[in-house]
Formats: sequence, structure tokens, C-alpha cells
Amino acid sequence: MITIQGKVLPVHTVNISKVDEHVLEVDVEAAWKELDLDAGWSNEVEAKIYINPT
Amino acid sequence: MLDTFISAEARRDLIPAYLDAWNISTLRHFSVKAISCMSQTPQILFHSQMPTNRPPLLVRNSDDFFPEIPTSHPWHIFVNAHNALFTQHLNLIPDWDMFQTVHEYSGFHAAARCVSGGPIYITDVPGEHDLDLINQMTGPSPRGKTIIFRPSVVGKSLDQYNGYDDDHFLLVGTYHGKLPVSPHEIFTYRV
Amino acid sequence: MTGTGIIGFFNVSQRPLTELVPLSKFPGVVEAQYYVIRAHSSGLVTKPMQVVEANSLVTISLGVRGYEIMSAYPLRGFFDEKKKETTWVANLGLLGKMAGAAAVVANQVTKLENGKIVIDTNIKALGVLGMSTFSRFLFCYHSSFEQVYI
Repeated sequence: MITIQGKVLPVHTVNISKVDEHVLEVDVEAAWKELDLDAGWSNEVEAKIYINPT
Repeated sequence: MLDTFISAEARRDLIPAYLDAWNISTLRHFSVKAISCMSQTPQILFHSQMPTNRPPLLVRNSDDFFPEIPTSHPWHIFVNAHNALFTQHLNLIPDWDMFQTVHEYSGFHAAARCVSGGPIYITDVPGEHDLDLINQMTGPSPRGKTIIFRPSVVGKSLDQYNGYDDDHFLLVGTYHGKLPVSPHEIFTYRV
Repeated sequence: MTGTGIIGFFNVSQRPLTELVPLSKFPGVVEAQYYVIRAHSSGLVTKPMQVVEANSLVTISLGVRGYEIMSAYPLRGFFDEKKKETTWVANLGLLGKMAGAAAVVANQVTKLENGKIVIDTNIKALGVLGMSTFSRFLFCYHSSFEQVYI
């Protein structure tokens, strides 16, 4: 699960890389547009990625 | 204007004042968004570029980019990487000069600018742009501005003793992040 | 956890060349820390490696006018007491950008009470953020070794 500003990113914006199975690709740009997020007073994007240990 | 004085002594004596006036002017009127070029002379290096009681300037790190001279391009990167070994100790941000995104060596130059720790600027022929390459160097900030990703440290050659004609790769090393907590001081952290 | 070392490789010669590059060549790399090296052009990622290991190398071949950018990303490991396994994570910054590691402004990796690992990162631009995870690639038998990265 991945959140930005507390909102969960849509499933289709998170994929396992086809080039390397150990790489998780998080399309923050697409998610930002889809969730219609706003920068507010900050000039950075804060993302929280939650990983379940195997 | 300094060149119009006939007396060499007068010209020499006025250099520090002239340089200080330039510095103050760029700070006041351009928020230091100016590039100091043609300034690799001892008088300028040690007066404007060394003291740390002022914001760092953008200073040209080498000779110009020459789009029409094919042999100049690998050399340009090589020279900048090695000049940085010296200029890293001055209070400046090294500028490896402009380049063209549609060019035989466009990717070569682009990669070099990205690891240089300095500015990235292009001199494309109007209408001829490689957007894919530009996308590899930039991204949109959350506020919509297109920004570049400058590493924390100035990029410099890692193999200082390899000659240009020695058939070796040129390695330009840089770093991004907090300094390692180590007793070995590997490099200086540029603000 | 330290930052990311980046090397730009440039073939300034007149012929294709191949060279071996040890992990230790990457600026800022320290001992007692695992890294993965990722190449910008291909997106390929090495297995986790550390400086003290003899085979911590990458091979790079470039044609004339060839170039590549490789970044060495530090891994953070979390040992699961019950399962006796370690999960390793690395923040790869923005993928598809030549110095994508430099897009990361802040990075914090912690383990929650419920066992989940959280990577809290600030990036300065929008793009595709990459995360690398490895698990069970090593079992630690020495307790002192475990203390290094927990």
C-alpha cells in the first residue's frame, strides 16, 4: 500500500518492473493527477510506502 | 570599459572593484542567476571565487561547447571532469556549459550535466528538441515548474591519472544524500 | 544509512571498451553496508553487494560515444525474529531520470509495531518512484552482524 497525503494510490499506478522483479514502480505522477492532489505550501511530494516483510 | 584604460597599472588596480561590483549586481538584480564566464584567471579565481563569505556563483568550468567540432565533445566532458578537481575547492557551482539535445553527442552531454552538480541549459536550434532526453534530465515539481535533479556533491573525475588517449572510460563521480558518518573525509559538501 | 553514489561513464576513446568497476569506486560507499547498483539505460539492478566482498563488481561495455549512469543505492535491512528472515529495501529515487537519486530530498525507513516496513520519502518532482526489495538473500548467523543494520 502506498499513500500520498493520506490518500491510497490506485492499484494501477503501482507495478512490478518488467525489467527487474525486485523493483517496484510507483507512478507518482499519474497518481497525483488522478487523485487531484495539491502541493499546498510545500514544494515536495511525500509518499509513504508500506511493505509486508516476506 | 576596463579595457579602454591605457595604463596597465590602472587596469590592474581596478580589477577587484570591478569584480565586486559585478558580484553585488548579480546578487541584487538577478538573485545570483548569472553565469561568470571567461573568468578562469588567477585574479578572478582568487578574488571572486575563493572567499566563502558570499553565496556561490555559477562559474564556467571549461572552454565553450562547440556544436560543429565533433572531436571537441568527449574532450569537453573530460576537461570539465578534471577541472572540477580544482574548482570543487572554490566557492562556486561549476557550469559545464550549454549543449544541444538534438546532436550526435546529445545524450553524452546530457548525462555529463546531470552528474556535474551544476546547471543544465540547452542551445537547441528552434524546433529541434529531443523531448525524451529532456524528460530524462528534468521533472515537474508539485507546483508545475520543470526542475532538474542536482546531486549534493560536485561531479569530478575519479581516475585523475588516466590520460585522455589512454583508452579508458572517463568516470565522473558524484553523490546524493547525507555525508557518511565516517572518519575518512572523502569529499567536501557543497551548499 | 548513507546516501547514493553516482558514476557517469563516458567512452572518450575511439573504440568500444569494456571495464570492470568495483562497488568501492562509487563515491560515499562505506563498508558494512549493502548496496544495489542500478544502470540508468537498461534499468537492470545487481544483487545486493558490499565493499568487502570480492565479487562486488559491475561490468560495463560502451561503444564509441557511449555513456551510462550507474547509481549505488544503500539497502536497509529488517530482520524478522519469528521467521528468521531479512527483508531489504532501497529507495531508487525517480526512475527514468539520469540522476534520479538526486530527486530524493528525504528518506526514512522504519518498522511498525505490526511488522510492516514503512518507507517515508520526500521527492522534489513527480515521476515514477522506484523501490527495490529483496528478501531471504542471506541468513545472518553472527549476532554482531545483525546489529549493523537494525
